[in-house]
Amino acid sequence: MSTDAGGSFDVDASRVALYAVLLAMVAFYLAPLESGFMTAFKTPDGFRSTTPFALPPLGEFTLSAWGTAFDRLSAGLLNSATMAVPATVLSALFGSLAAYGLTNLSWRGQVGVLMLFVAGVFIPYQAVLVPLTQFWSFVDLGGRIPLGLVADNEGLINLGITHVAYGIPICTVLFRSYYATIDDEMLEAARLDGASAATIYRRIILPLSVPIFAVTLIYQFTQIWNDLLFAIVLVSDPSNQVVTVALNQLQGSFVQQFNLQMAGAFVAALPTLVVYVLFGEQFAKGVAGDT
Amino acid sequence: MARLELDSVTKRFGEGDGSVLAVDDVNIDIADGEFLVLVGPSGCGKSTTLRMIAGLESITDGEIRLAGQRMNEQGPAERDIAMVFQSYALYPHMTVRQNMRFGLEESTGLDDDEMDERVDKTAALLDITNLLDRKPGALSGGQQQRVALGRAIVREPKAFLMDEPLSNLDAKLRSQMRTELQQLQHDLDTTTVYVTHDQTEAMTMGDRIAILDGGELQQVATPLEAYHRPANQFVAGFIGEPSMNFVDCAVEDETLVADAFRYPLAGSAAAAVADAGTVTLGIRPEDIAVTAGADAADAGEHAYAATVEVVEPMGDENVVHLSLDDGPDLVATVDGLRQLEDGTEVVVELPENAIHVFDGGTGEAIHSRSLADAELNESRV
Repeated sequence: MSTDAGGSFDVDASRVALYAVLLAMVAFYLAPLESGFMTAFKTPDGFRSTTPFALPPLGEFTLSAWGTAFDRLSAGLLNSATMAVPATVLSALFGSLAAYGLTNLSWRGQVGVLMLFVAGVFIPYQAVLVPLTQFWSFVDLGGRIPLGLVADNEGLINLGITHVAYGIPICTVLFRSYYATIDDEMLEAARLDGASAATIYRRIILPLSVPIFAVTLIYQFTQIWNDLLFAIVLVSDPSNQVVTVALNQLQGSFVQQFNLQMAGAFVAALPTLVVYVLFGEQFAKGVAGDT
Repeated sequence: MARLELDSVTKRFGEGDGSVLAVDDVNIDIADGEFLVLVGPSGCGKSTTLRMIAGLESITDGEIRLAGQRMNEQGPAERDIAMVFQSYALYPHMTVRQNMRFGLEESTGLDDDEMDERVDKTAALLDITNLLDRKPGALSGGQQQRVALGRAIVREPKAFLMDEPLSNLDAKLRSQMRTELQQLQHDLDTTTVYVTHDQTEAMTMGDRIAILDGGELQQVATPLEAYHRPANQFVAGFIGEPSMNFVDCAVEDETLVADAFRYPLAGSAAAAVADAGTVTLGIRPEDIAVTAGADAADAGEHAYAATVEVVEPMGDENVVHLSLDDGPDLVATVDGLRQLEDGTEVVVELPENAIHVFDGGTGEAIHSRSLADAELNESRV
């Protein structure tokens, strides 16, 4: 935008149109979130008497839905966290190791193995539900490992391991695209310097992987945290219930408590936002390919 | 410090019909402390040869020995060799000090103080002490180059391998580093194999140069020997800038004939070509005498009338592209202060003592220039 000698602004029509369209899109995408957020602060009466995206009317503002939602989801939040954090870290770590082996080391038959990993990305979860349940009932961790810790958390352990296994292919593909950009001469220099393949991974590849780890951790954590299908099928013990299942049960069978459901949805979604904020800067670097 | 021997070293990529012979039966014996330059055009196998010495490529056939020990089966880490890469290949997340220490940490049992001492000593040698705490990303190309050298030197290996280490530097810095590298190698007295495609680097830096083409070793010789006594037409054309002139000729009674161009021979040159059918006459641009305003008929039997096509002033010399009235086009160099205009009629003389003759079929040298009038004696080249 430029100013002329008189000091009045030249308004660029195409700029105005651009901002108008962008604002409209922002409004469009944020409307459901805003409506949900407002609903979470309304009493059931307040919800019925106003449109969803309006502010709570006087006297109909309440925090009770948040309190209830938090109380009823807290066990699920804890279970989800104990399962999702290690599962995320492990799938990223294994994906990174696999990608290193498939990208920066050379050995016979690696193309075939890589094909298997790529194929793994495209396996639909629904297709494996039956064999997966059969597998875990055969493995019977709680029965085989006579430890209270294992028996009490069998559902979460099964779910976590399943997520690690199904997360490795996509993590490998993500890491591989990043590792393919690493200078081969640098790794050769390290070999000549006397470093073994494991040392090169630990001292060179791993420190250079921070941005792509951020990408993978955010992606995997969101996937695992938000998963409902595996959680419903693999976890039967109510004490092992994860947050997505608990959230689903906030839906009353007779009365729809929209404020409770909305507050619950925000509580359940909060950790993924926290993870994004924590790794956001590195995430941007990883996506932009900045090493 | 050690003698490095390449004994019938061969490298074949792939198997069966689709395989490519990258290095074919190369024999080079590099003395302890020698600076050997491997030179050749792109794809000649020079980098592959270097990578085989480093252990980064397997050896299809033949043997590489360092200090008398067979290296074929040893991994790069066990060979006690340091390499400087074209891209410098520094570890970007480590400081210069950490970069230089990495090899010491991984391949020696030195304690922390000894390692720091070695790093400091090497950094002082290369004048990079003030860069030790910086990361490679904050260094200029020339500084990164020094760090890459430092990383190799600090390990005090048996041999240095350098893969076009100067090619990413600008021209001025490159010539400066060329001198410095030579001095450094001389001081360290470590066996060095240096790969380059740049014949200037090859001529100026090496104790000896090994010229490769198409995976085959063409000649191993001192720079001057390769220049004045090229083993074949490829070496003659590759070494020297501008390149040697070549004229394909038939031999007719001690005379080289190419259409109307006739070059009578006498003495040893005549004897050398006696049995040959077709030959290639070679003469270096600086050996061609160009005279303006003379008459070819008055000059000697090796003088020809020619026209100046293009003059490229280089400052110290002019590169003159000539077209002989009798046929072939030649390139000559004349003193930079001489004025020659395009289109000038001149007389060029191709002195008989400066000519090379190569076999027309194999390209092997069958006669090389005389060095009788040169100051350097035959034993030096």
